[in-house]
Amino acid sequence: MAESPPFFSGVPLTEQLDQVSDIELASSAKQGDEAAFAEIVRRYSPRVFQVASRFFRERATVEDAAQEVFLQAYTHLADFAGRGSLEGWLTRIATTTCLNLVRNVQRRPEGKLATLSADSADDLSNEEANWLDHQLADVAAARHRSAEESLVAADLTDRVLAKLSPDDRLVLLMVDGEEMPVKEVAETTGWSESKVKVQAFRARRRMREAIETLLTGRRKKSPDESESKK
Amino acid sequence: MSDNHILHLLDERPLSSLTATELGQITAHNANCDTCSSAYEAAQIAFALLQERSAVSVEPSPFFQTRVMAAIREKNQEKEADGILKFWQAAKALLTSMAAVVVLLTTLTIYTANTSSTEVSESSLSFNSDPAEAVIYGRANFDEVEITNSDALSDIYGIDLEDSDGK
Repeated sequence: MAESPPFFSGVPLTEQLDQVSDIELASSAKQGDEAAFAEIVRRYSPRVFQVASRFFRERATVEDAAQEVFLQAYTHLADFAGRGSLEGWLTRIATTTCLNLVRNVQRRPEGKLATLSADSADDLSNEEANWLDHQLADVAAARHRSAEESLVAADLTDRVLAKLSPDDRLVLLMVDGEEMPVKEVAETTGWSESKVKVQAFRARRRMREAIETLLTGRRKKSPDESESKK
Repeated sequence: MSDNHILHLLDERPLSSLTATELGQITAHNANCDTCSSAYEAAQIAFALLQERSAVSVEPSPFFQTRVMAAIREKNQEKEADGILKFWQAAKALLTSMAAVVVLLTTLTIYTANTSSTEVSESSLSFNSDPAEAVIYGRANFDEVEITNSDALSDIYGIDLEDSDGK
């Protein structure tokens, strides 16, 4: 005898779950309906991955973090009262979970923040050095780069961001990277709006100083390179 | 805002949100200030890097949903196992004491049964070993006393033979 398909509110799951509202899904998932929670995962995993991608670059790490986010969400489903959107609630859980994961990594001795020195310019790959040179040559043209160049830029950003605290990184990527309004950043992080502004102000200064240090090292290195080419 | 430098403008808000007036102010200031000029350059690079980094995002794999649901099931099973373990730990003391009581009661029952059966057999043995005379005469130390004919006759017929002989 063929097994009958699972039903949700009397209608076959496969056909109907994608039409069920977030609130209904959350309510069913709270009562232990696994299919409802699976639909939440399907619906919001792109959003959770986007948030996790702010903190991590490697696919495996992003997936691990996203899984942890959904496990946290499943455990705390009872806390979702339905006043705000499910997406907003998940985004906040994702941000907090990823922030904690990064903080935990940095608490370990090998994860301590390194200071950026002018010598760090020596560690740059050829692609990263070229990117910086292009950027210095023509900042305005920076908007029209290939996907490959964008990846180089993302790598370079991670190198610079790795020197900042997790809070600095988060606020910079949200406010300057994604150009999110301060109010939205405050809602997502659970910080006050004034904390977001102060954190962003300090983080911008630290990142600017880190880049200045890198550029100074690069400029010192460039004459040496041109001399050696001669 | 010491020395009218423009650093505060760079750090206060994202570069993209600076107004044309503010940008004009920065350009004018940078013409005569190397410090602010290099700071502005670094701020531009920082902003461009952050924009590039934000554009990079990992997409979920097709198996991600299955993976999460498997992890949830595993977590639920762990929870159930934890619940059983906690229940067992709580019940362990009670069960141990109950087992001890059962063992004690069993031992006592066996011991008591053994003692009473021994007493019965001993009493029945002592009863059976008594000679008929001991029972008739009601003397516990019957074996130690020798009964003469006259004692027997006087006991049976109530005649004191010694007295009648004497008469």
